[in-house]
Amino acid sequence: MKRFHKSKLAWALAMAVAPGVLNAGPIKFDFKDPKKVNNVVFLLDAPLESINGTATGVSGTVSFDPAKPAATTGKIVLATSSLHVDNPVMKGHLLDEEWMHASKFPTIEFIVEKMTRVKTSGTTTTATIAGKLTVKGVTKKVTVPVRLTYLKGLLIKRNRVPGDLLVLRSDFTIRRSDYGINAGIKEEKVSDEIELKLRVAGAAPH
Amino acid sequence: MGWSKSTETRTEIDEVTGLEYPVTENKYVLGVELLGATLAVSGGLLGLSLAFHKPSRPDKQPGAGTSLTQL
Repeated sequence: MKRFHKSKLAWALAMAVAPGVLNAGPIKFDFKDPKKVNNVVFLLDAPLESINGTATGVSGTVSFDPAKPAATTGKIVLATSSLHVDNPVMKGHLLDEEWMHASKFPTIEFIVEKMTRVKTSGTTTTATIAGKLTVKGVTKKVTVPVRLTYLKGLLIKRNRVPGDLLVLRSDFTIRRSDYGINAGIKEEKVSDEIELKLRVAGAAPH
Repeated sequence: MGWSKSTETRTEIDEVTGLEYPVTENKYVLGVELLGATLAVSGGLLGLSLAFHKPSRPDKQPGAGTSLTQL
């Protein structure tokens, strides 16, 4: 009888712990966002002209393990056609063949390969990502700082479905000349350096 | 003052994630190139009006025809 109680207790404990064990390990976050909150801001500050714009066509997936944030991998994709500046003439130039050639190169991709200098405090992890950035068909290795915030159970507040959110913020600078975007042309008006601010959140429904 | 805009972008904050995100609205904002074009057209019209300006003849001036001796 005593043995029966012990086995029953062990079974109950196992059942109670099971969801946690089953949920352990990497969580796959989807960054497709129909609400268009996910965005990338780009800034070009040339001597004669300052250009700032946004892009909201974000998609991709990131695999994140709250217990092992250093093992994070994934890919963030940006639709080139979603690049936007408020001036219609400038937007036309931005997307045409001379500059981003959106019809031929429809996506800008950032692949997360490895994370180093990982520091976690509470729900926030800061790290350096080593990855590959593809712009206009040219792929370059990049190292960028990143801040990840894991919001466990908060997806219900945003999308009305139970699940987790992963917020990813990263600010870094690239050179358009590295990616074959009109290198050396009109640098007095369109700077070579492009500041990028990535602000995205991924959802992982349970 | 910048170039003309056909949209205006403002920033809002997502309450759950705290992310700043752009909200774009269709709105025409007059830019410096239209101001410049307006000034150029005005200058051109002023130039034309000066070039084809007919100097008024002395006899058509107010008070013409009254000599000093008549006073």
